[in-house]
Amino acid sequence: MAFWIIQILNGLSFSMLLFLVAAGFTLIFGLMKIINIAHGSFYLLSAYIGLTVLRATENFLLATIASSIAVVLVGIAMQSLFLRRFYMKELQQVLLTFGFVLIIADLCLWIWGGNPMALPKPSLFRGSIWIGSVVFPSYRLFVILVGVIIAVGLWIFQEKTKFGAIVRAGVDDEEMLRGSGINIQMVFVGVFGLGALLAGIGGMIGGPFVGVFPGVDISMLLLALVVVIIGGVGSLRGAFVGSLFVGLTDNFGKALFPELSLFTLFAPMAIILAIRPTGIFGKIEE
Amino acid sequence: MIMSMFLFSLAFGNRGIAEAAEPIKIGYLAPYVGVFAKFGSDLRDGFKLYLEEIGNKVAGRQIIFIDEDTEGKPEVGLVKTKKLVEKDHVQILAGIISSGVAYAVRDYVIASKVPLVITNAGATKLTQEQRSPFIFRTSFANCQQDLAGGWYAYAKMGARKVIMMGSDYAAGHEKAAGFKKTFKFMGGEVVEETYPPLGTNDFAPYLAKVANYVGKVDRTWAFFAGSDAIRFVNQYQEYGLKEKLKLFCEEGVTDEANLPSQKEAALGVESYARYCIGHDSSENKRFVREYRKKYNYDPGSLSEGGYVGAKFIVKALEAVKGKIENQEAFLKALRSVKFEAPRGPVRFDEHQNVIFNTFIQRVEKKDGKYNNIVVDMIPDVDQYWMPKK
Repeated sequence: MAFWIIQILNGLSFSMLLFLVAAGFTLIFGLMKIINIAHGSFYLLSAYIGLTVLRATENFLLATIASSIAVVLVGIAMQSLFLRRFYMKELQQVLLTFGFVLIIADLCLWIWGGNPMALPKPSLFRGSIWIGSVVFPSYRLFVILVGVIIAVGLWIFQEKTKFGAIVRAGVDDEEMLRGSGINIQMVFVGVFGLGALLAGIGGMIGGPFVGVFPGVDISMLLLALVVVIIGGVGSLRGAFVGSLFVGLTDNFGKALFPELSLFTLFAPMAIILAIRPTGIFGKIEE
Repeated sequence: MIMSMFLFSLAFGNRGIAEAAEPIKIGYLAPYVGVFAKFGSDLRDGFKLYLEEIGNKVAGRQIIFIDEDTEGKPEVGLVKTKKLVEKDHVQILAGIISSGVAYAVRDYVIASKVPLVITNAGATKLTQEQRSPFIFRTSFANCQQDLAGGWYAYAKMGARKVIMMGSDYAAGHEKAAGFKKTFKFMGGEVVEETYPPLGTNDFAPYLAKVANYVGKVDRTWAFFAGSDAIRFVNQYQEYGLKEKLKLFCEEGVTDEANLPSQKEAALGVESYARYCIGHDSSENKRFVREYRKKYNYDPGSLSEGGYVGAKFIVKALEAVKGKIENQEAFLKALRSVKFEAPRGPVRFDEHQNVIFNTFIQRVEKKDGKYNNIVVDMIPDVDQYWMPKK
């Protein structure tokens, strides 16, 4: 029993981290049709900047704010200075964002070196807690909590606020939206910044247990892609369900069949794609 | 007569000087990014410390040290080896952390006839079935200290049942096999084996399984290297396993290189090792003092490994008066090098793999610092070591 409780909690905490990264990816794609290969780089950059601020101030909240501001600025710059020029040109966008992956990865390697590092946990969540006879690190419960709060926040944002309504309208019919007098470029910049922010928070939250090292950008991007493909591209609800699916399968796959860990992750993805090519919550194109 | 002797000495003397002036090039392979990054820089620092002690000179010839990053990847390691041999024309290759890289470069090294002195990678077969006169190893064969460790767990610690967790690459499997061999030979039982991939971000899924064995087995055997080891030891404590099911590890898990990041989580953890910083000998004390002075951090088994590797090479070069060009004589000299290393006396066996004493060590805290101390020692362990029942 203890085994299942721990595994479910492990899976949930990893799911919530995946959700943070995948949500930003899917938001950006849903509105702008940009496949942002550099999305994992926001994670990388945020975790490294957070680490530096943490070392100087030992304040996790302050580090999160500083790294969030930094990645949002980078995201806004990427969209408004570069990607904007290649609107609706998918190939050029992919190449451009891939260029950003390489540049950011090399800059980070240059500044922070090649040694894998982990962010120290916030002092409040350093210990482990007992749930009945089960010992569980309290930080992971905190991760689950943060994930749920952000998911709810995003839902409220998308369903209940005016900006959320504009974004939804943009996903459905961007031309009509433009016709109704909305400055679509500002919306694009805002959403791109929001996506970067979510991945950046992911970097800070994931830093203490996944760590930060050269290559984590690509591995997070890959997992986010799996999440988004399973959940359905452009759908926040899909990103949430996809994250739960991937986080839990990955975890149980590793625990029960350690030799098959990649298989247990990608085989379900292939099956879902075979049955529903647009993902669980993806729109079926007419 | 005098005239001809003068001419003779002029002719050959000049040639001698010309030869002496030419530097000896050592190509060095180690990873500086990824899981093994810290190990790679420790290994290099140890190697360079010895070269500096001899003023980067042997028998009047300058030693040039050329460093390449393998990234711990077999395919990159092979490319960098080719670069060192074909572009830099190095006369000796040294280094290598990962057994995967060591296996990948083997055939090329033998074909190009450049002696390779492995200063870490334990790839067992390279000094057994796949051995070659060109391949030497001054560190250990995977299984070597593990054979001693498996025996110690049964005979001295009284463990009868263990579970095993190792990194899923060449070294993880070979080290586990070594430990298992003697542990089973003595009558012990291995209840469960798990091999998470190299560079595992998160050990949580694997650790929940370990919790099932609390109270049912006596020890968890573990081998993880570099940043994997840091995460593993820290998470082992976070999941409340450290007190309930004690670890008995391969040395890389709680190496001095990891202790500053593991701290409390590693305290009291026992391991078997080829080198222990707490070893009480004058040579080791001098080495630790010099190393700390130069680099301002504690030497671990990788640092010592680099240092010992450099000393093996230099001793052989001294024996042939720097004439690396006479390769046969150099290889012969290298085979018979022996000296007192920081870890204790070292020499090669007939398959060119080093023989050393194996330490049993434990992490202790003293003056706020974490270091390994010697608990016990098993003398003269070679790669085929077997206990008596």
